[in-house]
Amino acid sequence: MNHFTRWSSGCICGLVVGVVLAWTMTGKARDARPPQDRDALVALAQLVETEHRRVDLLVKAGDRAGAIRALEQIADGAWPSEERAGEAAVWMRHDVVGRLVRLELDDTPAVPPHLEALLGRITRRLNDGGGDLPPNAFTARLAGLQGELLERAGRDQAALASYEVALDMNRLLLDALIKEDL
Amino acid sequence: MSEPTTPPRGVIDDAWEQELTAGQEAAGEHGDLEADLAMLHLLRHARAPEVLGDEALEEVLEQLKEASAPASTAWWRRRLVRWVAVPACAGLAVVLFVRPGAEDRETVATSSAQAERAAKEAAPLAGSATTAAAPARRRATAAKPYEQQFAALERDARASLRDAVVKSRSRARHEWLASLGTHSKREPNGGTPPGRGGAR
Repeated sequence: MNHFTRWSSGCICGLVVGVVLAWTMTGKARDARPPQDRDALVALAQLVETEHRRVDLLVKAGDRAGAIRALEQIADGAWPSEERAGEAAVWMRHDVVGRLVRLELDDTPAVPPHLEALLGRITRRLNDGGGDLPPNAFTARLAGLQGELLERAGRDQAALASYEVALDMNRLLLDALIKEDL
Repeated sequence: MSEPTTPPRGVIDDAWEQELTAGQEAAGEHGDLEADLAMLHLLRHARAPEVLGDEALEEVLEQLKEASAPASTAWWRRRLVRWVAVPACAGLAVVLFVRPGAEDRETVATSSAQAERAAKEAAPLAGSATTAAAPARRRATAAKPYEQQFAALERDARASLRDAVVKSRSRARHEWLASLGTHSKREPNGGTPPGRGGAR
């Protein structure tokens, strides 16, 4: 076997091993389960996008109460089920509720006046999909916000449990992200 | 009146060999004449050295130059390439490819400054949803680890959402076009399917 053949076969073997390792080591968090009704997901995405832009403008204009009301309306409005519009629809709702709670918490340095209502809203959303959703950033943030609310209310043990849920989920996502970068 | 003189024969003139061969045959002998010819050439040249022509001299000098030149080294085996160019290329590759990767990994780490930068860069599903909320988010980012992590993960999460919606939209469009084609085949006049907005 001449030098060139040995060299090129070594390169090809290295390439193959690299591809296989990258494939197996990338513990990527799986994508959203596809929807049964694609039109429902597309329509929902357009609606949510428009509402987010409206909230942007309200916040920019200093109308934080109006922004919170707009987010409440969309979060409590009609929402296609996970079976119909897929997991992406649930993630979008968690994103909306997360933004809503964040705005509420930023407005009040201490315990927010609607603490129980906010906690109830978060708990309902965390139970979406039977509470068995795959790890995603929006759900993790919602769990973290739940922990922050509970912490402000002085319920430290419950807050710790919520923070644990958020951090565990984020750890998985960050691990997957780091493996993707390697 | 004197007889015209013939020019002297050259050292390597073929006539020498012909005459030697003729003399050998006359004596009834046969065999190799190379040794006799070489001796004859030597004696002839010693008596009257023959000067080479310019072309013949150039040719001999070229042959000498080629034969006496040192063996050349392939460019990739030269010392300069081996000790300067290869390490320089390796260093360049490290700067170009390895260092940015390390920076990305550091971005993923939860140092607050980098998380803030990631929050600034994060592109929301709505395009500008994070822009207005950025100051509030930065306040929260400084306070809570989960918000720092969300800032680092938000861009990928929104990209996943966007992908899911784009896939759904293109599949829906594909199915609609396919159904349109089926319907056209069924109707020879090429009508549009009901309830799908034929004016689209």
